[in-house]
Amino acid sequence: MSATSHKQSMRERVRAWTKPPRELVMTSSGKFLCLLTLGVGFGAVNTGNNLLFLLLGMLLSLILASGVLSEAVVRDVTAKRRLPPRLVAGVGTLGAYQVANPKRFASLSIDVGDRNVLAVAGPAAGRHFGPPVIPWWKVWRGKPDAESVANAYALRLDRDTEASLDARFSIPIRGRYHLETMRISTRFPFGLFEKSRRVDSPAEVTVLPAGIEASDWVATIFGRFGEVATNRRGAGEEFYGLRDYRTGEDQRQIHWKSTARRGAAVIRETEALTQREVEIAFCDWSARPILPADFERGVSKTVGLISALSGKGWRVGLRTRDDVIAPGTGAGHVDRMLAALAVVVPHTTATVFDDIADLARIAVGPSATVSAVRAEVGLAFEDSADA
Amino acid sequence: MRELDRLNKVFEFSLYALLLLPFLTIAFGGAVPPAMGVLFAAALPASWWFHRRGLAHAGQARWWNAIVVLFLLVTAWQLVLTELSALEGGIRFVLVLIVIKLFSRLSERDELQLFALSFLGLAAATTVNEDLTFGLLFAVYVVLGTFTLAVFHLRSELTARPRLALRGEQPSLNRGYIAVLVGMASLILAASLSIFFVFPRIGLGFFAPQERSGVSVTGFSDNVELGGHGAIRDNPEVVMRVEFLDGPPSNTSSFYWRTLSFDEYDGRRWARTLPERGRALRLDDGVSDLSRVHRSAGPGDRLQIYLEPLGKDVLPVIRPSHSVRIGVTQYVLKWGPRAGYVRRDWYDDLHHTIDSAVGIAYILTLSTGFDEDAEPPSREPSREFLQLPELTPRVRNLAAQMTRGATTNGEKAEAITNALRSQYTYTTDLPAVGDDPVDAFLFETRRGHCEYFATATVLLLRESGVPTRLVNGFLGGKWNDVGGYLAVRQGDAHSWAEYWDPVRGWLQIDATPASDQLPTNSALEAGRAMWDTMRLRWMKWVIEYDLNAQIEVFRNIAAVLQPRGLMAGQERDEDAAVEAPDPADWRRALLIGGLATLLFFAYRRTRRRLRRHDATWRTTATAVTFVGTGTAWSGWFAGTDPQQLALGGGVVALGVVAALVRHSRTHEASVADVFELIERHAAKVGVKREADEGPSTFLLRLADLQPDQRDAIERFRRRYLAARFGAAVDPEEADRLRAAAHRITERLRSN
Repeated sequence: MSATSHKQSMRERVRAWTKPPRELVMTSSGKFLCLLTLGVGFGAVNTGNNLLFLLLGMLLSLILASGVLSEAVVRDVTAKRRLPPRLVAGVGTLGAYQVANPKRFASLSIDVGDRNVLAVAGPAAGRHFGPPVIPWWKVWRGKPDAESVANAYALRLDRDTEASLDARFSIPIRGRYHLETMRISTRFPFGLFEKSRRVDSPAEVTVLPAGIEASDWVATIFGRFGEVATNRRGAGEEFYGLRDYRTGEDQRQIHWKSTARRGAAVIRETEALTQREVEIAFCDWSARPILPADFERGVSKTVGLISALSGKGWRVGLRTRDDVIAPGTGAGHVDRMLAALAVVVPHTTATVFDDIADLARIAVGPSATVSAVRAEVGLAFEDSADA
Repeated sequence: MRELDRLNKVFEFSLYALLLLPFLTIAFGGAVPPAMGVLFAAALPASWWFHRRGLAHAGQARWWNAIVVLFLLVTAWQLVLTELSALEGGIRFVLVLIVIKLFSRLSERDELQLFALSFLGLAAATTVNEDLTFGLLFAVYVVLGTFTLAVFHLRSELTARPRLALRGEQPSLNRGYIAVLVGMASLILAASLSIFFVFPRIGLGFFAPQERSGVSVTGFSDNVELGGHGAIRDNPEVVMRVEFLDGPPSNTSSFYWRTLSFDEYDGRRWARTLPERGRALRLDDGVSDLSRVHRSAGPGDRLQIYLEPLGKDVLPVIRPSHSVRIGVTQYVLKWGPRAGYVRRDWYDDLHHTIDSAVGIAYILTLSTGFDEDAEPPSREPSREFLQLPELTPRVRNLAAQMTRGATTNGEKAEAITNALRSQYTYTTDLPAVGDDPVDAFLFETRRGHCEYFATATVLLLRESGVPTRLVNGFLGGKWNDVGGYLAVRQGDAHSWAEYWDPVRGWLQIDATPASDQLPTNSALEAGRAMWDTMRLRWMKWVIEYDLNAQIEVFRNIAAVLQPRGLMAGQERDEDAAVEAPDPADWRRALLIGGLATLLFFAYRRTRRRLRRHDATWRTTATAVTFVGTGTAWSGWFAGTDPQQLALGGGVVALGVVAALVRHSRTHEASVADVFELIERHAAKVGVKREADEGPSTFLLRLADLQPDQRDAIERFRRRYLAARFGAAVDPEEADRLRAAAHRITERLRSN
């Protein structure tokens, strides 16, 4: 058994050694150098001029040295991806790569990054993002315009060291993405070629939709439900009562008039507001065709609504075709809702809560309010019902 | 950003140096007119200043374009109306583009174009300069070019990522990095030369004829005016270099390098009147047989000769010679620019038929002497060798007087030679002579140089009825101690005569008395010898390195790599051994180098295991593999009998296995060793372990006595106890323990 496992291990090692996954891309100067090499080689062979053979030797040596040295740089370097905790569509967010160089010599000019991602859910499902890999022999292809998903650079990675390299992760469209391989690449020593080594590091990341202003929706909701006094002490504006100041309390809460009158510090207490609860039902369908831009605007505005309500201390819940998130509070809860919104796509069939009347029936709890947001029309706050 | 400024400065310097190199290479090739040279030299500092001040901007592009167009028009006009060649025009255009780009550069792209122009300049220089200066400047170019490219890349990376500078991650051109760059550049130079030598020379020269500027030697045309040789007496330019493959000769001053013969003299000028075309000498595997022509007694020493292009297809040979062969190896190509054969004209002068003007390499096998038993020549010399101009009566009388009593041609020749040698003096400082220089030489000045003596000899012998001819060539040469070869210079040009002997054919006589030595300056001569040696190597290994030479190089490598046993079984082929280096030294170096490499890698593969005493079967297998390979390597080279080889290899392998078994201690034992290490060092500083003291107690006491190491010893104690008495020891943990113990013992020692 152990022999078998050893055999496999050896085979894997041999395979890894003999078939390293490398990609080679020519830079502009590299293309020019190769063209020059071909020209000089042609001239040397045709004329038999030995001095041209000398020049040819120099050019071939440069190519050879580039290959050998870049291989020395990328070989054995390991990298681990540290994704940012929250990634919003179109917003560069700081993450990092933990890079280690276990070799006995330094690696110079190291580039680590995620070049491409595959969208597995959301509006871009099935699409690859990032610049395409152009094989070295396609010399006629120019530099692609697309940016890498994330990229980090170290000018020098000393021998036997680890370093954390900051990287800005950026994906333009919301959704769930699959990160397959990282690339450790270098253009060392002359910038003629870019050699990359793939490192398998599968991961999934959800890109949250970016929010836009939803003040009209917020105003409508506030208009309908308002703020209700609870007759309980808490954070709010209304006066609740006075009590003695306790050491360590915020001195801004001291009621100076009463303090002066009593000769001892007195605190002004306020009445807590009722924490309102709302569940947003995201309606993702329409009988008529929906423009993707309109749909995205609806999603973004819903994000804006969730953020605004959460910011006001409301308990917010979300119901989509695939997810039901009970009302709650906190940053983590908001992110869960945004994650659900990240993967919504327009449909042409109705959902179970397409009828506003139904919404009332599925209200969560006796004090809950259910709202429906019809995303495709942009002004989607259509109706609401008090339970 | 100080580092970036420094980087910029270094890049600027190296870029300018890189642009200067092709200019110098072209200038050494003589293709830069003085005015352009001055302009280019002035433009470099001016453009530096221009760039530093940031005076360039995109709006100037139309002016630069106008200059380019104007230059192209002027060049086109020169191409049509003057003798300017397209190549020269192209080279000038490249230089102009370099200057314009230096002034107008704004971005990295422009700098990349400057790199390209610099290389283009060097490529253009290959057509005008193939001297040693090209080689030297090329070596500098490779090193500098590599360095500049690397600095350029470094600078680009920093410029593209300004945040690096903010984070303090600036590239630093410290000594270590410069050493890496220089090492890299040297490796690239070595790789360039390796590729140069192994790249197949299959060029057929379809589009460009091979030629280089030849040495202009007076006396190598069909018409030679009396007095030419005297003018080049002081010229040290080397015409041919001769390597003696069978050891250096004892005396090279008596070598008469025969080139061209003349038959007709009109009173001032020698000419050749016989038909130029002759028959090719018999070719046997590329060897032209001279034995019948020169009445050779047998093959003697072999001379490898490298002849500069003389502008004439002559092959200098020594008489008598046995054979001649074009090239440097036994292989003679029947095609390509270096293919050709030797032909003999009606004067017995030798010519080659190689349609190339890059110089000729050939092997001349001398004769051991004249074959006295050879049959007399069947053909009498033609009447042209008795031709005489109108001689004055006193010359006729002198001829009769000198040859009085002599009956045979040989006696007459000897009499005239002796008379001229004894009664006339050698000089190159000739006074003005009249219309009849020979008459003036014989009766008025009574002094002259070799052409006067040779011409007088020919005329006097012909007047006496002996068929005679004048021969031009070289006498002797200068031995080059540095390179170990004979350098024949223009100043060694010489004239002598050959007379006809009915039994032995043409025989040479030289009536010129010994001359003064050329004035020499020892330091200058040494420098010249060194330079000429380098030049020979350059010509031999670079300029004239062709498929023949390549085959020879691979053959020599094969000889080095061939097992000794097989080598011994082969007979040495005389022709094949031409210039083949003795492989023994190479073999020895390769053997030692190979073994050292194997030992190094064997040590690298096993050292960690050996150090921590946990050699496994895999370590053993690795070591045995290396030792086995080493033994096979040695045996292969030494040509050892396979059975002995197997026996020897087995014994060595067993020894290695035994040594490794000794090292294959368990990790636990290894950990115990670590404790003993500390115990030993503690004893040295006076802390001895008591007989009843356990390791833990001892280490606690040691920690109390070494307060500065208390924590380290305590940590070691805990880990040691866990490793020694806990679960199975992890090899990595054993390593860490050992490292900790070393740190403790080092501190103990230092205290």
